[in-house]
Formats: sequence, structure tokens, C-alpha cells
Amino acid sequence: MEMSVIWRRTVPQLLVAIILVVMTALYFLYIDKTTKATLNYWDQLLINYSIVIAALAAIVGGVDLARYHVALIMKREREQIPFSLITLFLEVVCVVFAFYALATGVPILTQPQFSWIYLNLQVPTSSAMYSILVFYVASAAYRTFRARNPPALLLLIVGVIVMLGNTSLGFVIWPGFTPLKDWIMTVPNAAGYRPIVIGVGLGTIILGLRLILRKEVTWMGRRD
Amino acid sequence: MDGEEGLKMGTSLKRLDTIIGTRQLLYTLLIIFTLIPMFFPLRLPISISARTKKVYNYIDNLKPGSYIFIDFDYDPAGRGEIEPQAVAMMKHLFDKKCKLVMASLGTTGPVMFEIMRKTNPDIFAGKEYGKDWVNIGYVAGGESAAAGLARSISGTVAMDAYGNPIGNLPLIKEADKAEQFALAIVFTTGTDTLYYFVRQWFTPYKTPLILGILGVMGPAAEPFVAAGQAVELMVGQVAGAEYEVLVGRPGIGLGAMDAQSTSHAIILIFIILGNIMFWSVRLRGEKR
Amino acid sequence: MNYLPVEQVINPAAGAVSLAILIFLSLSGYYYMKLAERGRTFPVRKIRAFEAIEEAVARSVEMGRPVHYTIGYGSLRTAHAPQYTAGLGVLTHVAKLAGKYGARLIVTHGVPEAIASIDEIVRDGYFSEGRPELYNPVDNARYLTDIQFAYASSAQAVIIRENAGANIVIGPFWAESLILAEAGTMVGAFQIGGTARDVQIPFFVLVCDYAFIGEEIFAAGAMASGDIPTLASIRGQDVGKLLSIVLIVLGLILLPFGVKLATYLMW
Repeated sequence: MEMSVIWRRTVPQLLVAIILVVMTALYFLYIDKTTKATLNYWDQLLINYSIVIAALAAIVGGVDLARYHVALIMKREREQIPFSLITLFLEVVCVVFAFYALATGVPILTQPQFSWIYLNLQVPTSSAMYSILVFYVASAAYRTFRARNPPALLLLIVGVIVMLGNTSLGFVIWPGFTPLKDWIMTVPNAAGYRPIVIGVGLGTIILGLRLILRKEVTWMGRRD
Repeated sequence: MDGEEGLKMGTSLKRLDTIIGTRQLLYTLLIIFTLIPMFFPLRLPISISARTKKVYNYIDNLKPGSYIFIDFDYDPAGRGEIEPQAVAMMKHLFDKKCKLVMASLGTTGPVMFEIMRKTNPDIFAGKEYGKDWVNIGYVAGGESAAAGLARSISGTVAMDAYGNPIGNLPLIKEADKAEQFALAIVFTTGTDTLYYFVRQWFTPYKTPLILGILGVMGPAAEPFVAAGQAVELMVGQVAGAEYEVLVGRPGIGLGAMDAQSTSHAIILIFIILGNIMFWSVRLRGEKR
Repeated sequence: MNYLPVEQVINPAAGAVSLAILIFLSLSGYYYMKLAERGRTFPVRKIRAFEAIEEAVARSVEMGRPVHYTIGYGSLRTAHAPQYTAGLGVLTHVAKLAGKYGARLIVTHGVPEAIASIDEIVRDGYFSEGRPELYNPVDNARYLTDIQFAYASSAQAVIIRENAGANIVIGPFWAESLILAEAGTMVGAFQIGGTARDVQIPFFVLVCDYAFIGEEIFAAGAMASGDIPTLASIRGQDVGKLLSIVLIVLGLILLPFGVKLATYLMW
């Protein structure tokens, strides 16, 4: 095997496998107080490393974002340029605040200027995007709640009961909608959700097994 | 009706289906019917669900002066659904002379707390900072932060959200760890946070939990109640509105209930129309 | 040698039963993988959503529109990491198909740790199918941001402005799931969705043409590898399902006798 292949593939795979086994063992086992304290130390160390790696990856992300938008501006796509300029400008502003935080020791979250940006840009835009869901739920409901066949009819009936149970309108029509909705949510709905949760747990365990055995390698990209 | 006429009728129905199916029409009507009740409330009566009543009774039966821990942890997008719950429940707790320790495991929590405090000053009227309530602010570390706060608040953070040394706050001297709190309330938009509190507060210290969450999180949080790990859930804006009725302080939650009714009605009407058209087209198609 | 009592070895908060189940499932998965390596073949349940991916890519090429793929936003440090891994696994399959049919693939995401992997996967897809000229790192792999609704709005913008012919979304998704799926509906894209986040599954099932339900996204990662022993590990998953069903039925039978099986499983 070539040296580069070992570095590119075998070493990362082994690292993933070892850390998976170690983290699982740290979660399940402890021998005595001192051993436990040592294990906790290593546990915390691994977690801290992952925080540092993620923070460095965020820098890569920032560069990637800037590269993409600079490329768009260079292509002179007139419709896209204003958006790209705003993105780049705000990215630079945030970097400036971060350096200011480094220089002064005032954490970025407590800087009044940053708070201002956060409160007046981030909060309203986030809320707006979340609110858009109302429209999407409505149009998705209109398209999909069609009684095409018996199961779809059942879905339609249950959907209407839950919708009415969630509003005062439902209460005005028939007071029984609220308890009926509560029953649907706590009994059939919970019964439907649990097998999915169990299945996800099982799938995760087997995925972990494949990672430990170095059989799940697709996430790394290049094969050789 | 003969075949040709039926066919014509079928096409015009289909055309109507496309007109009703256009997003613009549905979206415009939705905006209009969501806004109208905000300005002209319909004041439809609301029922109090057994669930919200249970939370109310639980808090009502707390010993006056109990220490309560509140994780203030929702993001801006969840404000509409969770803030009404938080305001109404905090009013109830303050009325019961409970002492509240607030903290946020999410970065957005402290900002949302300040917005809540500024827009609802009456809740905090006559309450002294440091003695009746404390806001620790953001605590980094996710699950390990939850575990740390449960072990000892003063051992986990050095300063509160306003820069006061934690040792100077009389309330923290009285209530410093999970066992000393009669109840922990988690207002969050993150399902993961619920697991943190179940694992780090309920499992080791048996601190009772009440979870204030978004409507969509309801199904995922249901098992916590079934397993006895949480006392009860407050799900979505409906729960907030019901609690506002119970504590007798109508607020934004109740105001938005009418909007919820009208918007749901619009969606229901569209669903019914869609089904009528779907079936008329289909039946006509089959006759031919 | 003196043995330590169980409660001093095993973390009581984690539970000995959980550990036993974990070991049992891992061993059964391993057993089937070994059997497959020795040449035994097993019937594997077909996942329609997985088979539809090829159709989605081919159709986009016919229409001259790009394929949009996303794994969501967030961080690999959380409990949702397996779902990102599954999303990357399916991406290898999509990237290969993009190379095979000559499709323009646009991957958007908000996972900074995955930037390098995604770049590699897309590059590998085009190169291994002999279409290196189609690879353009700036265009093919786009990191958006790891802030939820900023990610959602920019991914939505990409789907609509680039007029995606296929919209494939696989990973952990939160409230943005419907935003992504409705954006695909607006441009009439062929949609395949998949997540193991239980709350969001219904949105994909209702809006997408095909949906991976829950753990199917993990199985899809194994299918994408095309390796038979890897695929055989899924049988371990099925053993686990069988065990769960047995435990549920047993719990129901014991309940009238006043025995709550769940309390014993908490050990």
C-alpha cells in the first residue's frame, strides 16, 4: 500500500474506530473513583478536541462561503450581486467583532454592537423564515390531504380532528375535539412514533459497528 | 347531463382547482385571516386541556416560597409559541412567592429572556433581583453544563448574566443544586435539551420537570411523561393561551388563538374544496 | 484474582441491559457480515426511495436541470452525527450517478466539519465515472452556514434559482425540512427525502415523491457502498427489531401479572 493511502484512508478510519470504542467504553464502564476520574478526564479531553476541530472547521466554512460569493460577483450575475455583497459585508463585520472580542476580552455575545445586529437582523429574519412555514404547511396540506383511497381518507379525518382540537374554533363546534385530539396524540400517535425511534437506535448501533469494522467508508470520499 | 357537457364541467372544475391551488391565493387569504383577529379579536371561548390544568394545579400546590429552576432556552423563531407559556407560568410562580433561578443552555436564551422581561414588566414588578429571582445567563457546554448546574450552580458559573459575582447573590446561597429546587421548568425549542434535563436533573436527583415546548416537538416529548420522567408538557401556543386564562392575565397567547382559529379554518376550507373538486373530476372521469 | 461486583464496573446510569443489548446486536451484525464474506447471500429488503435516486438523476439530465443534494446544517459533534454520515453515504451514490449521467450536482450544507468530505465525494463521483471536466469545486459543493434559518433560506434560494430538476435531502432536519421540500415542489423537482428525526418524517412522506423512513437512511449508506458484507450488517438491525418485538409482546403478557418488564430493562 502506498504511504499516502495509509495517511488518507487507514489512519482516519482507525482513529474513528478507536474513538468510537473508547467513547462507548467510557460511557458504560467505570472501575473505581480514581479510575472514573481519569476516564472522565479523557472523556472531557476528547470532547474538547472535537470543539476545537469544529471551531477550526467553521473558519474553513467562512472561507468557503467567501470564495463562493466572490466567484459569483466575478461572474457578474447581476441578480445575484446584491445578495453576495450583503453576505460578504456581514461576514466581514462578524469577523471584526470577533477580533475586537479577542483584543478586548469582551465576549462577542455581550458586545452591545453585536447584540444590536443580533436583535435587529438575526432575530427578525429567523422569525420570518420560521413563519413562512405557515404558508408551506397550508399549501402542503391542501395538496396532500385528498381522500384518494381509504388510508388517505383516514389521514384526512385524523388531520382535521387534530387541527380542530388545537383551536378554539374546534371547541365552539364541538367541545369533544380537544380530548379526542389529546387521545390521538398520546395513544395512536405515540405508538406510531416509538417503533421509528427504536429502529433509528438499532440503525445507529449497526452503523457504529460498520464504522468500527471499517466497512462504512463512503463518508470519506475518494476510495483509493 | 350528457357526455360533452360533463366533460366541459370537468375541465372548468379542473381550472377552478388550479386557481384555488395557486399558492398566491391561499397565501394572501392566510395573511389576511391571520391579521384580522389580531386587530379585531373574535374572543372565541377556549377549552382548558387536562394537560394544562395539571401543570396549573401542580404549580398551585407548590409550597409558597419554593425554589424553581428555569431553563430559558428558546430561539427567536420559537418566541411566538413559548413566550406566552413562560410569561403566564412565571406570573403564577411569582404570585405563589416562588423564587426563580433562570439559566440558558442555548446562546439565544438570554436575549429572549431580556425581550420577555422588557415586554412584560408587570410580571417582575415588586420583585427584587438577587433575592426573588436571578438570571445566570448563558452557560456553555450543553449536557455537561446541565450536569454542572445540577451539581452546583456556584461551582459551574462565576458570574450571572449582568456581571455580578455569583457569590454575592443571596438566592444562590439558598438554592445551589438540583435537590434544593422543588421544580425545574425547561422552556426550549431543542429536543436535545429535554434529554439533558431528563438525564442530568431527573434521573440522578429526581427533580420534577415541566417541559414547555413547540407544537411540533409534542410527539417526541410524549414518552417523557408516559415514563414518569416529566410531570407534564406545555405544548405550543395553545398551552400558553390556556395558562393565560387560568392565571387571569390574557396576553399575546390568547390574542393569537383567534388567529390560529381563522387560519386553521382557511386551511380546512381549502382542504374541503380540494377534495370536492378532486372527487367531482374523478367521478365524472369514471362515468365517461 | 478477585472479581469486582457489577455495580462497580458498569455505570448504573447507563445500564447493564443496554450494554448487553449493544454487545448482542454488534455480535449478530458481525456474524452476518462474516457469513456474507464466506459467500452466503441474503435477501435484502428493497428501499424504493433508494432505487428512485437513479431515476431522479437521469430525469434531471434529460430536462437539462441540476441535481440538488443537501445533508442539512449543524455539527458532527452531536448525537445526530450518524445521520450526517448516512447523508454522506448516499451522496457517494448520487455523485457517482451524476458522473455516470453527466448531471450537474449542487451539494448545499451547513456542516463545516464535512466540507472536505463533501468535496472529496463529489470529486470522486465525477472522476471515477470518467467525467472530470464536470467537476467544479466552487459550484458543486457549497457551504452555506450553520445557522438554521439562514441555511434554510439559502438552500431554498439555490433550489429555486438554479431550477433543480431533482431535490434530494437526507440527514437530520428540523423545522427547515418543509421549507426545503416545498421549495422543490415550487420548481417541480423530483423529490427524495429522508431523515431519522422522527418529528420531521411526516413532512417528507407527505411532500416528497419518495421518502426514507427513519433507519432506512442508515441502510441506504450500506446500499450505496455496493459491498455485500457491508449490506449483510443490516440483518443485525433486523435481529434487533425482532428482539424489540419479542420484548414488547413479553411485556404485554407479563403486565396482567403485575410485572413491569420495563423496570428490569432499566438495569
